[in-house]
Amino acid sequence: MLELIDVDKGFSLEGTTTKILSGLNLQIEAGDFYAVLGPSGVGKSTLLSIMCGLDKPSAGDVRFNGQSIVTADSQQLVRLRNQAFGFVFQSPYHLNYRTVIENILLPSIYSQKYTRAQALERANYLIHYVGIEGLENRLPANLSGGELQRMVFARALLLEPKVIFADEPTGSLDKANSEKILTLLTEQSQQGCAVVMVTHDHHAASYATKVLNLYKVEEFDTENEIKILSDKAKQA
Amino acid sequence: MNLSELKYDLYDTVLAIKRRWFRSALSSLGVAIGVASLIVMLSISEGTLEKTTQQYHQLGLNTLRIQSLGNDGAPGRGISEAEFIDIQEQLPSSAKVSAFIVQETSKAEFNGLSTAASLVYASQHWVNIEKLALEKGRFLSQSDQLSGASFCVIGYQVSQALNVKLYQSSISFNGYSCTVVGVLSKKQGAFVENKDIHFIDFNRVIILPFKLQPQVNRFSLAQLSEISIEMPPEETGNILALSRALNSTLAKRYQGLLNYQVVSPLELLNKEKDSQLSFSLIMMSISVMTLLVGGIGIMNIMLTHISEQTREIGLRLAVGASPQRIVNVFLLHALIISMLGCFLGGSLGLLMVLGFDLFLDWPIKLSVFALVIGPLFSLITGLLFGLYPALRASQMDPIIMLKEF
Repeated sequence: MLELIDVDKGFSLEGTTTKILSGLNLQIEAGDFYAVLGPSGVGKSTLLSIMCGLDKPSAGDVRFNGQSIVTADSQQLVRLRNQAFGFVFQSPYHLNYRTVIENILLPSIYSQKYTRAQALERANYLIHYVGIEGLENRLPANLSGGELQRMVFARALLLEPKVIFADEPTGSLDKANSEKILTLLTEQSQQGCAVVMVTHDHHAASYATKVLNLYKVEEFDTENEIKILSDKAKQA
Repeated sequence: MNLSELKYDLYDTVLAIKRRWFRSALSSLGVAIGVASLIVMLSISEGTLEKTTQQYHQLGLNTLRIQSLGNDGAPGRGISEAEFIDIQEQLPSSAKVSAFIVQETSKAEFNGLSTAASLVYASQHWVNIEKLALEKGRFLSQSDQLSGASFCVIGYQVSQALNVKLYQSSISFNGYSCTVVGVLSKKQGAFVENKDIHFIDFNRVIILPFKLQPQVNRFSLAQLSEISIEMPPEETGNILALSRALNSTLAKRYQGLLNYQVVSPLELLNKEKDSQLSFSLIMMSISVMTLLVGGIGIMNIMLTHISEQTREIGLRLAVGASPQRIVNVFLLHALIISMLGCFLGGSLGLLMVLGFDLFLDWPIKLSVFALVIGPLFSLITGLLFGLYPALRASQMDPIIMLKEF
């Protein structure tokens, strides 16, 4: 489904190019739950941005269902981000002057996939699914951190994405709320949605079926290592 | 963009403006002042032009005045009855030609009462050319003119001051007397306060038959104050050509001496319109500059909004908003602020026009042109100064905007 082929990424700063990713190859299929691990500054978030088409690699290709998203035009990328990808950020970004239900409905505003009634029906289902029923008409300012993150999760699922990108989704949550979010991500992967989660937390990574360990290029000559947690994959 | 998208973006914009209402109101103030000044200035300009036009219409755009120079210390010897006779012969019979002589501020007396009045020795047609109306009685008839009867028509204020009765009262002035046969209606604003036009207060005149005029030159011809010509209304288009022809004829006759001047109310009106247009253009330029300053205010506030809403824009771009949609939202925002300014300015302008009209008695007329062009300029200002911030917002990098992503 999502394929990374010889992906390189470097940044130029004051005439010096710093390479972050080098020759990365990865194949993500429906139902995969990838955890991307590695120390700070290794390029985890950059990798996530490249995978979802928000950033471009310096070399190599990223393909979704066989189509390159590196060479796709901005309209195709907009459509892809809207209909095929879902995003859960570390900070639960939202529109603070819109109610919970309006925030969840946000992707449908930019999509023709559902009618307004269909989108509303799906949003109501997701509100129950993530466990924030009764909060639909509240403003986000009146929600706790965990409730906000679940609202964002419901928003990410609204248009039934094929891949969910989660960047440190439990980074600002307590243990109980972290467990809820990780359980929801696991359920999604079990239902056939691919999940790519960037995390520092090894406990969070233990929910994943596959782990991608990123190392600094200069420290690890064989570059990146992919560890398949075969026993967990079997359990799934 | 379809209707539901527009509704959503419009609602978003209204919410954004409500959240920062004070700042939005301040930024719309520049446009408001521009629109208000546009309405007031153009209304004053149009009002002044309308008043002037009315005055020239009262004088008659189809008339010409050949005025005598040489009185009141001015150079020249003035025009005489000979020119009056010649012009009458040269012009077609459809033209009305009259002459008059004014003797300023004489003392008129009746029954122990007295008042100041101007004596006007006028030929037939003069009252018609000046569009004078009667309060009571009659004008001087052709036979009065021919016989030189001692009849007179007096102005309204003279009538009030002397308390005369028609056909019974004989008023006296400068050792002469006349029987009052008519009283003029009160005349308001009948005069153009312009150095090129004779100023006669019709409320303070005593109109006498031309034949009674006492001053004649050495050829027994009267020295005239003015020859008035009225062409039929359908000939108004030719009045300027006639003015040039008369000027040329008289110049030859007087061999370049400054004995006369030909005054055309139409020509004066055209000059007045030209100068009024220049005034309007200057006023409009000032207002447009104010609008531009208002536009810069809008741009400033839009850039501030964008820097405050960076993450919101990043979020929208990340979940599927197209750059075009972001442009639309910010353009809509700029347009609403400028239209708000337009509404405020329009209301303020209307109130000021109304206030000037009611309390200051200025010649002011609400300018429909300003009411059309004000919103149009506001719209252009909003679009023009909203476009750059909107494009900038749409081209921002969602990764940088969301920072942690």
